[in-house]
Amino acid sequence: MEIFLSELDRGKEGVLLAPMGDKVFVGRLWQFGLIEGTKIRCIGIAPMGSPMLFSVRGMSLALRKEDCKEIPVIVV
Amino acid sequence: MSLVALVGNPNVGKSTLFNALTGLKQHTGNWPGKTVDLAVGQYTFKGKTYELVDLPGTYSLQGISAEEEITGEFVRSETADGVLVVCDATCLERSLILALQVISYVPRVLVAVNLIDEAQAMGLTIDIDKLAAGLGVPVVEICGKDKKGLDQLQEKLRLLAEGYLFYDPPERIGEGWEIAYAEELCSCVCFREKTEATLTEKLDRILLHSLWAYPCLLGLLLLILWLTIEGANYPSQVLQWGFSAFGRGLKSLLEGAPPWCLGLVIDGLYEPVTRVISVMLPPMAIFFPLFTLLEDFGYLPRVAYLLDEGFRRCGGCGKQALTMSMGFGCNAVGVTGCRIMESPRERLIGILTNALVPCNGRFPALILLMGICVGDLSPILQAVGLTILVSLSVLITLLMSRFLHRRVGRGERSIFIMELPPYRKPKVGQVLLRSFLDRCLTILGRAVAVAAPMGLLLWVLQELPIERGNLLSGLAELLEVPGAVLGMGGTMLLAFILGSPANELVLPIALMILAGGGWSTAESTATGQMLSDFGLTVGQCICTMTFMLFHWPCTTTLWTIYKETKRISQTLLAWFLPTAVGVVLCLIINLILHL
Repeated sequence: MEIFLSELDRGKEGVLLAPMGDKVFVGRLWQFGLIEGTKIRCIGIAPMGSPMLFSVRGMSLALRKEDCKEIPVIVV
Repeated sequence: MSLVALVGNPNVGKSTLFNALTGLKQHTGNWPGKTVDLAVGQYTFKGKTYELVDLPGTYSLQGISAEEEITGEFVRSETADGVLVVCDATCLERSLILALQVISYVPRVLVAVNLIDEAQAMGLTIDIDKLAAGLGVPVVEICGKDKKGLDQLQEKLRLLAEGYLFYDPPERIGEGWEIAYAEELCSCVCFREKTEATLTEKLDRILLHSLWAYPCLLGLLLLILWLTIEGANYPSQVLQWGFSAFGRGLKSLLEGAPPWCLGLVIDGLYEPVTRVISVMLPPMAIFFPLFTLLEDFGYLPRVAYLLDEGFRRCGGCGKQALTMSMGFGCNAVGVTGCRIMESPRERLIGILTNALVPCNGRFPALILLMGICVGDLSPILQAVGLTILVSLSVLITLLMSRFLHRRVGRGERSIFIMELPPYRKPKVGQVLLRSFLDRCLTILGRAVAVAAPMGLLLWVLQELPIERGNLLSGLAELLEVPGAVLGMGGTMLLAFILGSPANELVLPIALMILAGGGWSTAESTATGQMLSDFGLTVGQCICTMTFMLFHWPCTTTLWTIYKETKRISQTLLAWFLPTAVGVVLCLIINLILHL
């Protein structure tokens, strides 16, 4: 099932598809190793609703919810 | 002498390793991107000297932020005789991405897998030989914090610099090859046993909880402020007592000297310097180490995480919370720290608003003034009051950021991606001691370098007679009208102006002006007591506190802003904005007090 990262529920795992957005955004994601095929799991959401916290490649990464709306994932 | 570049992701313990090898005292904060200035150190091993360059932490050699670019450029330039890539055993996959990039660029690479103690605690084991084979370069296991494996590391570095180590890099297949390769390699060499929740996960359940996160944040701030106030009380009194006793001795020593000599030494030098030390040293020497502990523990990225949404709605980002925290220590440091922000607009907003947050130099003054206002109330209530003031600062920073965000800087998309590192147990004793000594030296140094000349200047101004009194009191009178409008009086306003070089000077200068050179004969008592004895009302106190929170940045900070922005217009704006806030607030408060 394909959804956006912003819709990934807490505790659920997904696999990233190619992110959309401008070059700078994609480049920054790439720097953290967030590319197509990367496994990602949602581990929390900040009290105000953003950012969202993910576990990826063994590290905890915080991403803004609005940015997550541009990253498609396939739920595992 | 061989040059070795130290490279690694942020927060892998690079700086700890750097300190362990070179013995250089360098502050390490546990959040990504802290080391902004390049640190260079030396060590000797088997008769040879090695120079280490601690490059800024980066996730990739194609860095986006200014400091990440430095690392990429340095490595690609092949200036160093060898590159040491420091990897995080608890997060190997991500570290390997950078390692593979470095390996593909330079032939002399050594990989050090750090934090093996933490990996062990997590139940992780790494097959080092297999990793070395997969990377094509030698690998060593170390624990920088406990100094384990350093001998082997230094031996391998020696061989590296002389070109004796093997180099058999993997094949590069297309762009982004290193990410897939790192993933595969890691799955082959890392083995995880336990699956129970780590300490980090357990702590974050509370500290990032939707209900408890913000109360914890406020609570921690309150705790730090309370410890500062409570802890500084007694040492301040002891220092004051000691200095006045010594001062009496000094005065009797100068019995026979001409009166101008007595005035110069006592009023011009001794009093200002010792007053700055006795009032400012204890709180600053306690607050800074406590804050450093919090930093090293790894809590600050969580602060950025919790506050990002608030900042985003004001056009900033969570990283501004980090630069604000740095500003608590020193506004100049906070301004430099804005380099961690990628977007030029956010960086500018961060720089312009940093002075809205009170620095270490202002804390003792605020504590003192609050003591006058609330009288002999308990330190815990003073801490509460200070927390409220700090919260007010944060609120004004948010509002100012919102005001600025459509009006300054270039419009660029702001991308907030932040790593929340695992909590690390800081070496409490070491951190406290190092920070404490560092602070003491800094304050003593500043007291001599800034307070002494200022004291002399004031004494000279006091000695120059004009129509009614002396030049100093004349200046205070000149400012009486604007001072009254702002609700603090001409003396205090003059003190703020003359205290521009350093915020810790403001109250001592005010005291000097009020004392009018009578210290040579007067008995020294507590600064707070003296100020109210000289007629500082509670109303004036409140306005002074307000202006202390919101006034122009000190000259050090202004100079730093100029160096960072390279624009006079932006530096002037940085001078103007907090001043405007202070003036407006003082006017309003003064009006309310007179209703």
